[in-house]
Order: sequence, then C-alpha cells, then structure tokens
Amino acid sequence: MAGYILRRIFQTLLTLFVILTVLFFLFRLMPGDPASMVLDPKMPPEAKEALRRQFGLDRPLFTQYLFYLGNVLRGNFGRSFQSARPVIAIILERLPATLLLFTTAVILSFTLGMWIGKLIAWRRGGPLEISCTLLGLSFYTVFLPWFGMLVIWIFSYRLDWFPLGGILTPELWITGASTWAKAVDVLHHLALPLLVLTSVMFAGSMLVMRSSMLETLEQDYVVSARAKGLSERIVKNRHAARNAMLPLVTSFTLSLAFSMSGGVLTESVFSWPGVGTELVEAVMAQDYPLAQGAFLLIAVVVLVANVAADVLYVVLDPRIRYR
Amino acid sequence: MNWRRWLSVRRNPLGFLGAGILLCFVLMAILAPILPRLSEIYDPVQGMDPEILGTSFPSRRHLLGTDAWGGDVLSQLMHGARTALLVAVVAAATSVAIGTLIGLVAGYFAGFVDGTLMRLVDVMLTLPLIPLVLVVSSALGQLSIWGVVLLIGFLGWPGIARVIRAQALSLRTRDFIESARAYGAGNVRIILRHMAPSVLPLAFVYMSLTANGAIFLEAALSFLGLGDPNTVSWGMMLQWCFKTGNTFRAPYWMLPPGLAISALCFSFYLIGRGLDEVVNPRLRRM
Amino acid sequence: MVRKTVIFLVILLATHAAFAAEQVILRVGMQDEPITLNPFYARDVWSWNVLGLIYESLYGYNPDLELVPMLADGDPETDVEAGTAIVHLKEGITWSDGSALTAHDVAFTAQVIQHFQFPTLYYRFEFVKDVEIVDEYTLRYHLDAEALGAGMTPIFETDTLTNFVVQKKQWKSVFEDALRQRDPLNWFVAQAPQPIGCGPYVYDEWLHGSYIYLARNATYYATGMEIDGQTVGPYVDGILFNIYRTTGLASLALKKGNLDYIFWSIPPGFIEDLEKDPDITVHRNPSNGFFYLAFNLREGPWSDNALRTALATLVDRETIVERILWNLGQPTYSVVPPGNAAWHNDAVATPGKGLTTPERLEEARAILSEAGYSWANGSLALPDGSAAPRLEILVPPADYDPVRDKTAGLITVWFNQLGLKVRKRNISFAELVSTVFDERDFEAYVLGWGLSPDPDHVRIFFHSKYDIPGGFNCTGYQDPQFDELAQQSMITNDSTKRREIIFTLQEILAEDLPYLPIYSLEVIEAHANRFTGWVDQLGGIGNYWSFVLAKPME
Repeated sequence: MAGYILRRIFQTLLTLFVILTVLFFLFRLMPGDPASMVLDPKMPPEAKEALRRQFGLDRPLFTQYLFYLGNVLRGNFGRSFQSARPVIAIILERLPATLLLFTTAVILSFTLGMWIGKLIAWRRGGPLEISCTLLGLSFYTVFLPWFGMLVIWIFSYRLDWFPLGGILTPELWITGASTWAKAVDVLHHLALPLLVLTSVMFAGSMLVMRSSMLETLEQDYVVSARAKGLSERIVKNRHAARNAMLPLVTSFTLSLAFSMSGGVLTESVFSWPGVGTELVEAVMAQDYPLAQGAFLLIAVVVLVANVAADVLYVVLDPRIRYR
Repeated sequence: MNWRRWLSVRRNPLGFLGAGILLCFVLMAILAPILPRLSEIYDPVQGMDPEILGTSFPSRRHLLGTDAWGGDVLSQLMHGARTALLVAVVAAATSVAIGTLIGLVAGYFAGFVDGTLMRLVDVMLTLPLIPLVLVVSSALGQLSIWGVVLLIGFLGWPGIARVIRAQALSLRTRDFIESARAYGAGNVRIILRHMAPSVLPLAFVYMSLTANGAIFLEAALSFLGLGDPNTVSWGMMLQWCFKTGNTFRAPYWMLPPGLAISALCFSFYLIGRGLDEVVNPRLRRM
Repeated sequence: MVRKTVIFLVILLATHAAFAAEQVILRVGMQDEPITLNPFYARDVWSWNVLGLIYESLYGYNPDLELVPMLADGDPETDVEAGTAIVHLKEGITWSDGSALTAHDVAFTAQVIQHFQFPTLYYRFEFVKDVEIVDEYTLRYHLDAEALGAGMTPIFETDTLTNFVVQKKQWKSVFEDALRQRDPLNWFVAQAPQPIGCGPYVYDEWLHGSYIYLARNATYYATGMEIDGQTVGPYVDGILFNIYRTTGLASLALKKGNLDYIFWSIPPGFIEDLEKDPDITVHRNPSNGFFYLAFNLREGPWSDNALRTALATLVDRETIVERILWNLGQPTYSVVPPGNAAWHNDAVATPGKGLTTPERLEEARAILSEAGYSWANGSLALPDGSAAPRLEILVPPADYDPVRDKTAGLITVWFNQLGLKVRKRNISFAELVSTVFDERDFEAYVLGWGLSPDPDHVRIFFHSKYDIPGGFNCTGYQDPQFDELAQQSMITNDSTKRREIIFTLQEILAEDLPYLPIYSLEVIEAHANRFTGWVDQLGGIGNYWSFVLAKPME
C-alpha cells in the first residue's frame, strides 16, 4: 500500500517535469515580443532594449532553461511580465477560490451522480430512468459558458436571487462584517457557479454508477443476500452499491481533468477569482510566466486529486487489501 | 456482430436520436451557401444590412434577427454548422488516427514499447484539456481554423490509444495473427492489414465521442477569444454577443449558437454511445 | 441550521443597509485589476485610475486641459540663459501619514527615476541634468539647454513637472535596499509598499481579485480651493473599486444599482437601455486618440504619393463611422484627433469626402491615370508597366477589436475594387507591434493611438531621426521641411506660434499621407444619478476633477 502511494507520487513528479519542459520550450519559440505590449509614444529605443533585459529575454535559450529549472526547484516560478510580482505569490492567492469551487463541485457531482445512478438502476426501465438519463446527458453535453450565461440571466438578472458574479460583496467586507456574515456572503456567491459545474458533471458519475450497479445486481452475492431474506434497502445499499462504487471511483479519477476544464470555463463566466481566470487572462496578455504558473498549479491540483482518488480506490477495494 | 439486428430503432433509440440531430446539422451546413447567394447582406463574415443599424429582433428579412453590426444571425448559424462539422470530422479523424496507430503499436509490441507509450498516455490523460489548449495556443499565437483543428487533433489521442491498445493486446495472441507471422509477414503489414480492421469498429465509436470533445474545445477557444476570427463559428458568435454586451438583450443572438453547440455535441455523444453498445457486448443489456 | 442561516442573512442585510447609510461610498466598476500600485512601474490604465487619486504632481491639467499648479505654488520661473527653472512648493501639504511634503520628496523622486531610467518614465527626465534643493519649499531644475534647443521648452512642463511625487521617507529605504540586490531594477519594481500619497484619497485595502478601497483624505491640501467656480472636495467618504471582468456584468450591476460608475466605455448594446433609464446618466466625450491605416513608405508602390492619395480617396470614413461604429465616434483626417480641440486642424485635405463609392472610385482612377497607372483585365498596373504586387494589411485579432477588424475588412474590399490585390491579415497584437516597430517589414497596417493633451506626438511619429528600429517613425517618412518645422514646434514657447506650426504640420501630413487617419472613438460612460458633479473632459468623466467634485445627490 505504501509502495503504491510512493509509486504514484513518483509518477506525478515525473509528469510534472515533462510538462514543465514542454511548456518552457513552447513559449520561448513563439513569434512576437512581450516587450511590445508596453508601448509608449515617448519611449526612446534604448529604453525598449532595457525592457528586454528586464524581462531576461536576452540570454541564449538553453541557458534560460537551466535557470528556469533551477528556479522551479526552489519554488521560484519567475515574475509576471505585467506586474513583476512573483508568480507563485499571485497563483497562491487565487488557489483558495479555485479549490473551494472545484472540491465542492466534484464532491457534489460525484455524490449526486452516485445517488441518482443507484436509484435509476434499481428502478430500471421506467420513465424515471429515461428522463434522468436524458436530462443528465443534456447537461453533460451543454456548452458550459453558454449554460452559465443562461443561469446568470435567469437567477441573477431576472429573479435577483443571486449575485451577478464574483466571490464576495465588497461593500459588506469593507464595513467590517463578522466572519460568519462573510462566509454566508461567499456561499451566496458560490451557489450559481456550483450549480452550473455540478449540473454539467453529475451525469458522468450517474451513468457509470447505473451500469455498474446493473452488473453488480446480477452477481451471486446479491442473489444470495436476497435469498437470505434481507430487506431490499439493505441489499441495495450495503451489498450492491458498495461494490458498484469501485468502477465509479475509477471513472471519477478520469473525470477529474474534465472537471477542472469545466472549472476554468465556469470561473471565466462568473468572474470567480480563481487560478482558472488568472490563466485565461495571462494567456490573453501573453504573460508567459504567469500562464505557465497558473497551468502548472491547475495540473498539480488535478494530479493530487488523482492520487487521492487512486488511494481511495485501493482503500475501498477489498481484493487489493487482502493481497 | 449482427449489424442489422442492432441497427433497428427499437433496440437503439438514443443512437438514432443522435443520428437524426446530426442529419439536421448536416443539412444546415449543405444549405448554408444559399443565403449569401440571395443577397450579399447575408454574407456571414462581412455581411451588413444597410437598412438596419445594430441588433434587431427576428423579422421576415432576418429570420433570427441581426447581430451588433447588422449581420444576419441565421446565415452565421448555418455557416457555423460547416465549421463545427469540419472541426468535428478533421479533429476527430486526426485524434483517432494517431490514437489508433499508437494503440496498435503499443498493443502489438507490448513490453517496453507498450510501457513507455502507456506512461505517456497516462501523463496526458491527467492533464485538463482546456487549460492545456489555452496554454499551448497562447504560445502559438493567433491560430487559423486549421491550426485550431490540428491542435485539438494532436491533443485528443490518448483516450483512444488506451482503448485500442487493450484491444490490440488481446488480438496479438489470436490465431490469425500467429499464422500471419508464421507466413513471414512483416510487423507493419500485420499491424495495418490484419489488426487494424479488427479495431476499426472500436475506433469509429471513439471518433464520435472525440468529435463531441473537439466541437466543445473549439467553441470554448472561440468563446474565450482564441479562435480564428475569419471563420464563422458558433463559439465566436457567442463571444461577440458577450463582448458587445448583448447577452441579456438579444436572445435571438445568444440562444441559437449555444443551443446548436449543445445539440451537436449531444448528438455525437448519443451516436457514440449507440455504437458503443453495438461494439461493446458488455453494455448491450441496456 | 437553515434557520440560523436565514437569521444571519437578515442581520447581514440589515447591517449592510445601516452601514450604507452611515458612509457615502462611490462604487466604481473596473474591468481589470491594477497591475501594481508601485507608481514607478505601473503603466496600465487600471493602475493609474487608482494611483491618480492617491499621488499628486507639481502641475496638472485643469478641466479645460490647461496646465495649472497643484503641489506647486505659482508658475515656474525660467531662466533661459542659464537653462534653469525654479519651482516653488505650496507650504503646509502633508502626506497621509502626517509628515510634511518638502522639496526633498520631489528631488528624491527625480533621483530614483534618473537612476533606474524606468523605460516608461525616463523620457520625462531626459533633459533634466540635476534637481537642486534650494530650500524646504523651493527647487531649481538644471536643464540640458543644448539638447532642448533655445532654452525652456513646453516639454519640460508637460512631461517633467506633471510627474508624480513620492514620499522620500517611505521610499528611501526601498531604494537603498534595491541597490544592494543582484538585480536592483527588477527587485525595485516588484516592491509595492502600501501607497502613501498626498492626493484626495488614501489607500485603505486591496483584496486581490475583488476590490480596492480608498478612503477620503481628511487632510487633503486642496479641499476648499476654488476651481472654475466650484469648491474642491472630496465629498465622498471613500471610493470602492469593484473588479468586474466583463463589460456586460458591470453594466447590469449599474442598472441594478450595485454600482455608481463604470470606469470604461459602455458596450454599444447597453447605451440605449442606459440612456432610457431615469436613474442613470450617460455622458459622451471625445477620446484623445485615433485609429489609422499606415503605409511603409520605404519601398514598393506605397512609396508613390499618387497611389496613397488615390487610396485615401476610397476610404469612406463617414460610412465606417456610421455603420461599424454606430456613430459612436468621428471621422478623422488629421493625426491630431478632433477631440483635442486646442490643437486639431480641421482644415486639412479630405480626399473623397462627401462622395459616394462609385464617385470615389472614379476620382481615384482619375488620380492614378494621371500619374501613369493603367489597368489590364481589371488589375492595376504600375507606371512602369508591371502588375501591382499583392499587398497585405496587418490587423490585430478580431476579438481584440472587432471594430478595427471590420474597418480593415471594408477598406480591403474598397481597395480591391480599384484593381489592387489587397489582403487583410490578422496577427496577434504583440507580433504586429514588433513587426511594425522593430522589424519594420510590412506593407500596411491598422493600429490606434492613445495620446496625451500635448501634440508632440506629431513630431515623434514623423521626424526622420525617429526612423530607426524601435523608434516611432515606423512608416519611414522623411521630409527635411517637415523635420525643421517639427524641431521648431519642440522649442517654441509662444503658444500661438506653436499652434500655427502644429497646424501646418498636420496639413503637410494630410497631403503626404504616411498615415491615413480614419476614426476617433467617442468615450461613452454612464453613472448613477446618486452622484452628481461629474466633469466632462477629453477622454471621459473618469478624471481627477470628477472624483474631487462629485457629491451625493441631496
């Protein structure tokens, strides 16, 4: 078990290294010049050269790479071209918002999917199964940014039940509200992005749970549980569902990357100040260090979640445990 | 594999629903050039109605209204179908071609080759696609539609590779492969002439599912502002609606492209699932 | 649990309402966060929206765009012979931490800028040899008279004296620490100590990603002063800058009453709605900038003035403004935009104005025929008989600026009608800028400029000495007569004479056409009627005067 975790961690680190290298070279080989984003009619030509030096773009490529790796190992991801602030500081500031949205959405969609999947597997062939499947699939394939805009239109603009975006209400925070009030404010802002992201994600879990349950229900131990005279509910929950969950955890692991993609889009639409919006903006501004840093942090979050899910699988699967 | 039996609608309602929706979009794409031929105000890229300034509600002249520059929304929507289908087909085909090839090679040779390739697949599968595409496209600068398509194609192969590889692994020990080798057939020949046809059905299934992803990616890129501005795409339409502040006041502009993207993705997904049931015996009992 | 939440929500709303009544806060929407609050490094508009209310300079522009003393007392006393200028400071001005503003602060700021030569600030002190402290409230500037020409020039006033002033006490240690670092410049610009300024507002809090809050400066020196018959405030307790990343959401917030002002132009789709809204007022002001098509005059058919004039005839600016800009701008024929009324010459050449497209085409053909051009199978042939080569117009991406892209598209169509093979190519903004200004390998491009009130850019964009890689004369325009006049404009003190020279320069450029100015946008902004007293100025109502004069409606 410990060996397994260590292996997974090693794999993760290797993955990160490959990503870092590819990204570095990709960015440095692109046309155009970031110093060009800072143009002032009065700037003399020598000053432009100074800007280039300031951004460290005057050294040979391979030397830059070695410096870059050395820095990364020390936790230094360079400085943003725009603000000259250390990238690591900027992205760590944004991390809590992303974690909040991502974790709650992932947990919620997983739970919801599992619950509905279990339900409709039990009640096969009825209108419930068909409607849930269709509804889930519709949400799964809907265009997320558009869906987000629609949700804002209806629930914020028309009904005025939720705020129009962002993570907090500034007027509240500058006038010294209590921590509890601030927490409620954040939750109020979290509601819509969470709704959107969860709706889009839950169908994946739901469908896998359903097919997995169907298979499990055929298994011998379920038949014998029923024969023993146990109540349907116990059969469903304790016997069938627990085993049906294993493939679900596998598919869940695979879906984490997809959830993060959705998370980035959701953050954009709702102006949620997380690492996702930071990535989009850095890409627009061609702020290479910041874009890379944001991407790496996102990749790390997903990789960590993957390892966690894999560990969870190992914990859940009795077959592996008894080895 | 008794195709005829499974292709009956009763057994596979979702697949046929998907095919039906796809057909509508194909029709839309085919009929798209008709409008600009009627009048140049319907040109999707440069068309402007000289009598209408800005957005307007649907009318007889413009069945879906006009956008912020007096351009016809319906014409843009129809031409967007062409872009979407192009992206879907080319990107999916690229992904599937690369993925199948890699999967076959990994499955056939097994051992070290398989190990390394699957490591690579694992690495790529853990990367979230949208952030990856964002970061790569920012490095490549302004992309043309072909650039976008190829980018998506080159990033989408890992999922297929894994599945094909599993199939290839089981095939390599089969009799007909053994006998082909005994006859002295080279590796390339075996892979291409003997193994490939067997995995092709599976590849088709994934082509449909990859198409779904490709459309979504292109739309997302365009929506965020990184697509090709010279082609009409649904994602672009949404982006310009959003950017000019018309999201909540021009539903005839905001709703159709979003619905179209969602519907087309939905159809490809259903088709993929339908084919999946045909090809993959385990799921047949639905 | 639910009940507890509901109770707290009620208390939340109640306290919110109560607080709102106690303090008068101006809520401003911004599209982006400031990049930094380090005034030496900040060069984006969002940073300066905030910093401009915290820091002050010796002189500033009044609502009529005239230079008036702010921290300074009276006009500078210039000694043309000696090449010096004496500036007096007002006494009694304090920084937000209570210490006094003295000549040491001004000299120190100049010292820092001259030491580091910040690329975006250095030009302001390029001609300053030394800043001498005469006494606590007097400074003597020693200027490089030789470089400037015959003594004092307007550049010193508009550039050097309008620079911000920082507190020496706060920045001295930062400066000294920077000098000890391995890379002093990069280290220094990354520092962002909490701003201590002497402006109308004081920095209070910045929650990254969400908001910045500035509180009123209770000891602001200008409070109570008269300007244009109004008394300077500020009259609000604080300014809350909300970060709204998308224009649509900010406009909605304004409509719903969650914002009082949006610090950028309203998207066209919202203008009508907001104008009809009784609780909102929409302001229209000209912008100080223009968008243009530029040619590379160094080689190729573009170098022939006849061809450029013919092409200029085809560009129907009025149609562009009407159709693509929805009339939210003005046609521009001169490189000084019409909004800059003090310096704009509206009597420059306007080829093709008022003609219909067929008429323009006819006139263009006439101009070309006379110059020896001909047509073969509809394609244009140069005077030497060869076919005109294919020409490319570089444009930024359409989503970066759809208006610019559509304009270029329309122009391409018109040029093609003349028999020229023209193509529009979208490339990323960064690449475009580097291709045009550094490599100078292009045929034509479309870009825009945001300018300062002083028209010195006319010299910088077209004087032959700036025709170097990285310089601003990217078109390669070389005209000795123009050079001499431009040089004179830089050193003429007499404002009437200077104006005459600038007017002549505009006329020359409108004939020679290195730039084909096309349109100048209008700045359209909206604010809630909760506050009144906004000051219209070139560039919009989001200016210093609005923020010190705006008061809550009674």
